[in-house]
Amino acid sequence: MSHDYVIETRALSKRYGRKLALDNLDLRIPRGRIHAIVGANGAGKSTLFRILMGFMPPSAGEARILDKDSQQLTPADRARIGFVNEEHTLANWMRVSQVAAMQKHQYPRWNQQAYDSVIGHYHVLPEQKVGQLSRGERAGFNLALALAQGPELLVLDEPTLGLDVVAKRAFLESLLYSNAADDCTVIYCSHQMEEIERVADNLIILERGQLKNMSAPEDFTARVSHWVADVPFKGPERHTVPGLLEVQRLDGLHHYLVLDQDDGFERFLREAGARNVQSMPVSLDRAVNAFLAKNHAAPAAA
Amino acid sequence: MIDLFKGELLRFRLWAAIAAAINLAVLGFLSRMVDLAQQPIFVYQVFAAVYAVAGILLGLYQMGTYRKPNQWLNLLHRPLHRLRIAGALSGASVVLLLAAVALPIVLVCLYQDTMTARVVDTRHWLLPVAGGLIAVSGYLAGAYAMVGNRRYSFAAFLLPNLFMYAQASGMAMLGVQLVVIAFLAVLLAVAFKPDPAVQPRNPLAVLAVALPVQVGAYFLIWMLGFGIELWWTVSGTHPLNMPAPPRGGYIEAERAEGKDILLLGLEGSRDPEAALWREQIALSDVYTTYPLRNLPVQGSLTNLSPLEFADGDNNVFLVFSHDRERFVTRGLRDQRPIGELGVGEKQAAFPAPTMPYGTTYLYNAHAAYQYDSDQQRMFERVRLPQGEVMASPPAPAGDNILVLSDRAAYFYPGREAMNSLDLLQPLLRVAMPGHVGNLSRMDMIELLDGYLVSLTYTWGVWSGEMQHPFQQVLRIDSHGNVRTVAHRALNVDLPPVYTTRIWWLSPVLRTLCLRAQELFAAKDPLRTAPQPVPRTMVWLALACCVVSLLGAMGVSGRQSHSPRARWAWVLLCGVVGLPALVSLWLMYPMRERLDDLRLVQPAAA
Repeated sequence: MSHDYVIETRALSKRYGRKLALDNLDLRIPRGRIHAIVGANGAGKSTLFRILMGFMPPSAGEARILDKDSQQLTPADRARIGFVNEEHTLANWMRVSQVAAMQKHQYPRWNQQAYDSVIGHYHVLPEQKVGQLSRGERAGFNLALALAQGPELLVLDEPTLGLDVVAKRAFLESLLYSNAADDCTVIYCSHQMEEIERVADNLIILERGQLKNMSAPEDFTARVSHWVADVPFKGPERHTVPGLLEVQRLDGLHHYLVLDQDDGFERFLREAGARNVQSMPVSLDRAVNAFLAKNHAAPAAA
Repeated sequence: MIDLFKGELLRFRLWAAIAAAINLAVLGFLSRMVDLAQQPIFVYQVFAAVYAVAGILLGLYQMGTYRKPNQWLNLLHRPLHRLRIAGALSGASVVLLLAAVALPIVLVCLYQDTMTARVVDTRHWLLPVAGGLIAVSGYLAGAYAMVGNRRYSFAAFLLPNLFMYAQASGMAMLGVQLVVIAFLAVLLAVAFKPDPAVQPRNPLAVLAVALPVQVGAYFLIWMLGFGIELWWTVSGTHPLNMPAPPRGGYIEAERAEGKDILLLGLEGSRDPEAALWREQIALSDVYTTYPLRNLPVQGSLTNLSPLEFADGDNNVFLVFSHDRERFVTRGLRDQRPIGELGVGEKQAAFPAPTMPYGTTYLYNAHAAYQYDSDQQRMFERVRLPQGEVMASPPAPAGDNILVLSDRAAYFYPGREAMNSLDLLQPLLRVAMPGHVGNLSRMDMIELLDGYLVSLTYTWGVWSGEMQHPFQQVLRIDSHGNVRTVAHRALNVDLPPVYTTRIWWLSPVLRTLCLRAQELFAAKDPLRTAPQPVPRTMVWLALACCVVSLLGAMGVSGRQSHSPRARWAWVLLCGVVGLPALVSLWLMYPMRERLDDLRLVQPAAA
């Protein structure tokens, strides 16, 4: 395994009873930049993080984080990894200043400037109790603490979940405009595609515990194309449509979202009876959603 | 670490202050009403139970809030060793518990010592320590139960229960509490890690985790026996609930009236005088004595019953002081201190803590005394020979007085006892045919020239500690010659497989539990070691161990163990028996295999 990767898994599997949360996952996330991990609920994201942080043993395979076996992390290793979860679990009974002072004592690479620059985005007073902060303020405070630790790797696990639009924007801005974030690799796990589109340099898609995509977001978007065809009657059978992610019939027109199709797809549609065919680009949100919805479980009778 | 410690102090400071205030208010109120230093053991047990529950609740709540996945990750994912984090959290809780539990007791002790004439001995100053340690042990058990794997971690609650059964007293009891706390702290330290469900690799740590699980399984299987008893009761076949107990059994012997037990004892007697005695039994008063099971112990934190009595005629209240080895006197009505009272004219020290018995006598392990209110003086009336301890204080037996020691029955002249205050000399000494720890009753009638005495040895039958109950009838003439006139073996009434299940379920754990019970304790002469179980039960225990060994081979084969660990477990199960097999099954999940998996759908991550 190489130190060029902040996260590296080999044939990583995790089984819960009769279900596989991670299925032979081979994942290598290079050092630097912001990497987004997306996946439907149950794709294995949280399980992956728990294994990587050493809070759960894998059923099989190997997981390394910052070139260390994830099951053998030392306190010094943990100082190099920041983690922000969606609940922003902090000591509600303590004051902001007390929590910050505690973190400052514990983290040898504490960066007060980074803390001040992030917390400056929020109207958080040092004497306030953490329990009195709004959800957005907690998120910002948590991010400030995580960045001030001076981590080499910062894992943000759905940090904006439950935040309103204003709080989300404040969170993203404080992340993007912090110099501290420039010095570390950020793993950003989210369902919010507009956030990912804005922050991520690399898009990792997990589905059913398997790696389905790892590329720049725009590269992934380029793989998905939207075709509108005027096909009489039913149109081609779904199983015959190459790379089909999603099909809809709107106003008598067939809308196809397909993966990895070039101009040959137009020929396919025309051969299927299409009188008129149009292609158009799709947004990242639509592309990812269609990709993830493709294999969504449905009742056997459906 | 200090920040986490301070944070936890901050978190629970209000609750601790409220608990301390309530504790102080309750203790303060009670100490105004009664002398808290002289309460029977039950009162101390109630307080101990409350303190233990308070500790348990704190442990469960504190760790329960941290044990949710995100909170646990947030707590442990920091550049601190896991044991330092555990130390910070538990250290803060210990400080708060001591403040809420021990401090109010100290204040009440201080009040009693400085502002009242009540006796406050060194042993009373240890009560805050004991209360605090009990609360801390409850806290650690609760914390471990919440942090550890909940398939088995709740077995830790059994450990503080040792305090109820431990034989140690005084400082030795504090030693027992410290041992339990140290053990629970080890358990918490083993479990306090990112994934507490993963078993440690260190064999000693595995043994430490396994021990309470095995004791818990052992206890639960033993408890199942009560289900059988319940079934017997419901079906009307329980010997203890039958209208008439089985003939010739220990239940009949324990329940019989005094005359009946003597007649039962003589049933098989071929003594030529037996017929005459039967007639005399019908006409005589029968005196029945039940032996003591405990004696007051020097330095004991609690009291069997209050070591005090009042002399209303002289307006004096007398309380025994362990430190001064004398009774401390104070005004009965005005509560003003008066002085001290020792033995005899010289006001000598008592050889052991002394407590009142009935209306006439006081006793301790070595002697019995009589208080004379006219002279306001304590007189030694009975002194047991060196090496013997009191098993029953003086009680009337016809014209004379009967005293039991752990080895013999002594008859003292009743007339002298009534008319003088001198030290009495025994008229007769009758050696016991069995151990006093098994003696359940002694019944006797006066004959014209001596006594007819029945000694029934059945104590410990139900609990499987006595396998051969019997009754022996003795004829004692006026010269002290003792003749056995009848001896009959009593039936156990219950199947030995039931009564001895505590042994055959796991002889190793039985021995371990007995040793734990006796930890740091001085030998108690009133207790008897359990008798060996019948040979059939030995074979049953062996069969259970073999079944456990074979079961362990099968179960461990489907779990993830290194070869050495697997065979160590198999061996352990073979030695310890079925409780070890249960612990093996509970502690290790089945091996996670991927090749046999039929995917249904992805798990929620």
